[in-house]
Amino acid sequence: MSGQSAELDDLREQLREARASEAKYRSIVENATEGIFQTNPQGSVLVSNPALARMLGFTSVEELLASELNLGALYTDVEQRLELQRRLAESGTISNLELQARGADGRHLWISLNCHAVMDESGGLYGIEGTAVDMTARKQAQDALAALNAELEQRIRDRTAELERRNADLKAFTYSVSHDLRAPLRAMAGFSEILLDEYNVQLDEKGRRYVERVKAASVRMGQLIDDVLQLSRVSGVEMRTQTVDLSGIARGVAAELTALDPARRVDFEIQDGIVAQADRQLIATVLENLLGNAWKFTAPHKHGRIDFVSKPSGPGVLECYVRDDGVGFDPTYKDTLFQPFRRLHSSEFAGTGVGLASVRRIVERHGGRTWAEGEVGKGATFHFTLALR
Amino acid sequence: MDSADGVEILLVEDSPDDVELTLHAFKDAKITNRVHIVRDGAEALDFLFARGPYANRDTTDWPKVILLDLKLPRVDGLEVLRQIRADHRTKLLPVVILTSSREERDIVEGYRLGVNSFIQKPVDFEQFAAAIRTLGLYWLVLNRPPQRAAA
Amino acid sequence: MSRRPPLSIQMQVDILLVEDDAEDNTLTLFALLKHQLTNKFHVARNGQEALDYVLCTGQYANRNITEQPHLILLDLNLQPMGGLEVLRRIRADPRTRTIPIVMLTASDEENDLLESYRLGVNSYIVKPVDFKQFKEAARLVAEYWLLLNRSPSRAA
Repeated sequence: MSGQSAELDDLREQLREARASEAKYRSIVENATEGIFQTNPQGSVLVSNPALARMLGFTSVEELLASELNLGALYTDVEQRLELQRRLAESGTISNLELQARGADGRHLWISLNCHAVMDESGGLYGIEGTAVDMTARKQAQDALAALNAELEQRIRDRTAELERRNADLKAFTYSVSHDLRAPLRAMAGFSEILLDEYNVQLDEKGRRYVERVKAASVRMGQLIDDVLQLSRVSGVEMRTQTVDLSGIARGVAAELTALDPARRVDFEIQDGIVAQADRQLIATVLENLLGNAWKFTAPHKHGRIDFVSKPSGPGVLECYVRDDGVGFDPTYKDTLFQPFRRLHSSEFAGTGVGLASVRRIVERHGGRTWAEGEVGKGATFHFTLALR
Repeated sequence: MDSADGVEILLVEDSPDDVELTLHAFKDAKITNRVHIVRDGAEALDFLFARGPYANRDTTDWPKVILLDLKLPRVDGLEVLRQIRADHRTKLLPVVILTSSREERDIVEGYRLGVNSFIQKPVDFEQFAAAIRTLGLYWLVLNRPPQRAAA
Repeated sequence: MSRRPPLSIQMQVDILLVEDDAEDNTLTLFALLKHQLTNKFHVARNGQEALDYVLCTGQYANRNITEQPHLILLDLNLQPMGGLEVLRRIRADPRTRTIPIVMLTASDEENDLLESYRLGVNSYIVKPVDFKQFKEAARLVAEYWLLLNRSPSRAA
C-alpha cells in the first residue's frame, strides 16, 4: 500500500514541478514583447503570444486563434513569402528576414522574422516556430532618413552645379569685361602717341604734358584691370591641393627677379625643404608677390637681404615668412596693408596694391593666416601659415 | 571714295580706332601698299566676289593679303573665311586673322578652315604697332602670294 | 614700356627645320635662328625623316603626335622626296593638317608657287641671293611665326 502512495506522491511532485516549469515558461512567452508563434507547415497559427496578436492587429490571442489566421495571408508581397519558403526549405532557419505585412486591422507593418522548421521523428516538417518583431517604426525612420539624405544630396548637387555655373559665368564675364575694357585703352595710348609724334610742333610744353598724362592714365587703367583680373582669378579658380616644395618655388622666383635686374646686389637666404599641402599655382603667386615686394622695397639699399624661412607652429601647421631689410612700413598699418588697393608708399614704388590682398585671399583659401611686422627703415616680415598634411 | 582697283591689302575691320591705328602703323613702317577697308563681313565678300557696290571691280586683280577680324557685323570673320576658301577664285588668297579674341576654339577653327596665319591684336599700343609692322613686312614684302600681281 | 609679364610665364617654341645637306644656306638659317631666339629645334635631314617626325612613324614612332612644332620650314628642293610631296603628305593627315608650314625655295618658279598654295602651304618664300637680305628674311620669318603668329599647337 505504501509503495503505491510513494508513487502517487512522486507523480504529484512531478506534476507540480511540471506545472511550475510550465508556468515559468508561459510567463516568459506571455510577457515577451516580441511576437512568438508556432504554425503548422501550411502557416496556420497554432500558438501565439499576446505580443504577436497585438502586432497583427488583434485584440487578444483568442481573437487571433478564432480567426484561424494563416500567416501566409498577411504578406503584401507574395515574393517575400516565396523567399521565406525557399530559405526555410534550404537551411531550415530564417534569421532577421524583413517582411512587409498587413495586419488584420489593415495597418501596414514591417516585421523582422526569426524562425525555424520543427521536424517530427520521421524527419518530416512538423511546423514552424519563431519570433517576430515589429520594426515598422524603425523602418519608417530609416526610410525617412534615406529620403532626407537623398534630398540633401540632390540639393548639394544642385547647389554645386549652380555655383559652378555662376563661377563660369563670372569668369567669362570678368575675362570679357577686362578684355573689352582694354580695347579703348589701346586707342587712348595709340592716339596719344600719334599726337606726340605728329603734332609735336603744334603742341607747347603744357600740351605735351597733358597728352603724356592721358597716356599714363591709360597705362594705369590697364594695370588696374590686370589686378582686378588677378584678384578675381585668385578667389574663383578651383584649388588643386598637392604636396608642394615652397623652397623650390622660392628659389625659382629669386632667380627670375635676379635675372630681370642683374645689376642689383641682393642676398637670398632660402631655407631648404619647406614643404606644404597647397595649390601649386596659387602658392607660386603668393611667393611671387611676397618676394617681389621684398625685392622692390629693398631697391634703395645698395645691398639687400631677403630671407624665406619656415618654422613649425603647432600640429600640422607650417608657418613661413619672407623677411627683407628694405624700407619697411609704419606698423600702425600692419592690417590695412592686406586690403586691396591700399598702398602705403605711393609714387616711389610702382604697383596698385593688390598683391598683398591676393596673398591674403589665397592663404585664407588654404585655411591659413597672414600677418605682417615692420618698422620704418628697418625692413618688413610677412608671415603666412599653411597645412603640413 | 577710294577706287577698288590695285588693292594690295584688304582690311576687314569694324573698329574705326583699330583701322586708324593700323593705317598709322603701316605708314610708320613705310608700308605704302594700297589698303582697302571694309567694315563688315558682307562688304568683304561683296568686294572679293565683285558684287553689289563692287560689281565693277577688276577681278583679275587680287589683294596680296586679307587681314580679317573675327567679330564683325552682318557676316562674321570665320564665315567670310569659309566662303573665301570655298570659291576657286579666292581659295588660295593669303588670309591673316587679326583679332582681339583669345578663344582657343577660334584659333582651331580658323586653321581648320584654312587660314594662313592667326594673330591676336596686342592690347598694348606699342606692341600693336610693332605687330602691324611685322605683319605688313612679312606678307607684303617677304611672302610670295599665289597670284601674279602686276609687278 | 608696358607692364612686366608675370614672372612664371615661359615661352615654349618649336621649329621643325627640314634641311637638305646640300643646302648650306639653310644651315645659316638654322644658326641665325638659334642665335636670335631661344627655341627648341628639330632638324630633319630629308623628307622621309621629316614625315616620320611629324607623323610619328619609323624612328619617331614613340613621339606624341599631339605635340607638334609651331612651324615647319620646308625646302622645296629636297632629295629624293621633294618638298611638295612632304607638304602633301603632312596636309593629308587630319592630325597634322593645320601645322603652319613655310616653303623655302631658291627658285621663283611659278608652278611650284601655285602648287604649294594648292597643297595648303601657309607661306612661300624665295630665299634672297644677297646674304644680308637673307639674314633679314630669316629674322623676319622667325619673328613672325614664332613671336607673332598663334599656332594651333596645344603648347602655344
